[in-house]
Amino acid sequence: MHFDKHIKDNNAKLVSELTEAFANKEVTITNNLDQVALNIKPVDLLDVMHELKENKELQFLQLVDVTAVDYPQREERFDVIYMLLSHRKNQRILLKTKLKDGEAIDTAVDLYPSADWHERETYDMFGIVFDNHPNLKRILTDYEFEGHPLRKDFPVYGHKDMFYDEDVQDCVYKEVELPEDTRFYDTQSKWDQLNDNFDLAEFDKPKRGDK
Amino acid sequence: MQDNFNQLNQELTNSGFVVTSADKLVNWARTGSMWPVTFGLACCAIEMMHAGASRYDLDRFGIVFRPSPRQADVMIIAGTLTNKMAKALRRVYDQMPEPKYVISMGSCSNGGGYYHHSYSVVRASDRIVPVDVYVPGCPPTPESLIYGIMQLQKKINKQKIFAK
Repeated sequence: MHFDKHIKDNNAKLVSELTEAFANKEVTITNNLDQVALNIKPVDLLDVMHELKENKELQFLQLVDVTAVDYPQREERFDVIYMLLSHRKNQRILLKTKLKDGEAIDTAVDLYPSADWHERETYDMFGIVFDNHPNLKRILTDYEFEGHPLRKDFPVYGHKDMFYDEDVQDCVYKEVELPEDTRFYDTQSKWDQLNDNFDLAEFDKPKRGDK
Repeated sequence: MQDNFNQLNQELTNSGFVVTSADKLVNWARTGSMWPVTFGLACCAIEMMHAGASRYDLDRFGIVFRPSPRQADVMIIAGTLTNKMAKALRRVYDQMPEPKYVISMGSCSNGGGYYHHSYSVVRASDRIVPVDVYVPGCPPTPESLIYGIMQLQKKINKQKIFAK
């Protein structure tokens, strides 16, 4: 497709411009699957963002999204990811930083006002604290919600269930109690899922009628 | 139906009044004007809108959707009830004047449905408000919602207010 060529050329150009712009910074530039990513340290975040925004060759004026990824086996547990868009240069870039659990990162609200709610969502879902954020509180989950749902160690049922209490005349939280166990399905297998004693080797043995 | 009207008409022209029991009269009034408070939460609400629109036309049952709980008799919980919404739902329910009824529409509202194992969803809306009729389906068709409404009408018709 001719679009592919256009994107590849554009990205190659972007990479060369980035190398030039961040020659004196400790950054790693990757260009995988037609996506340019800039791996930076959390402390450099605002400097790099400022450069990306103000550099006349880059002009990343829009912050599209802020999100995170949880890697529980890693010591720097979270990847915080900023997606930037340059309308002028028709380019996109990912900013990636690694963060430990409990470590805070500076807010991008001063540079990109759209970061406000995105950072609140990232805080809500992953528990990542953004320093100097004007209003860092939960945005999606319930007001008295416990935990951060997109962390890998968060139980899918959550911690609390809501009930109406006649005595209190209000909705109250109780501990989650599920009457039945979860079934874990192996989605890759085409064989019987509900039978615990299922043995594939037994099943594959030729039967009396087979030839 | 036509015979009933003719009979009623004859009775009225002959004697000038008709006699019925107070219970029947009250229940006739209640079942004939069940005004639901609009509580659409998810895709079920779209089917509820279909039921209200011209094709299925809930108006012919005397059912008119009200934007205020204070003018409503029935609450149709149409969709996934989340923990965050539960308090608002209960407040709307509390604001409705007696007598009030609740129709739980769709799997999510009946028992959590698709989101039963989720961390943010109420696993059945009858944990929050007392439910009269459960309409199954995901989402239920307008026909099934209307059937549920008719079941509620039956239920109301069996109520006795004066004769115990």
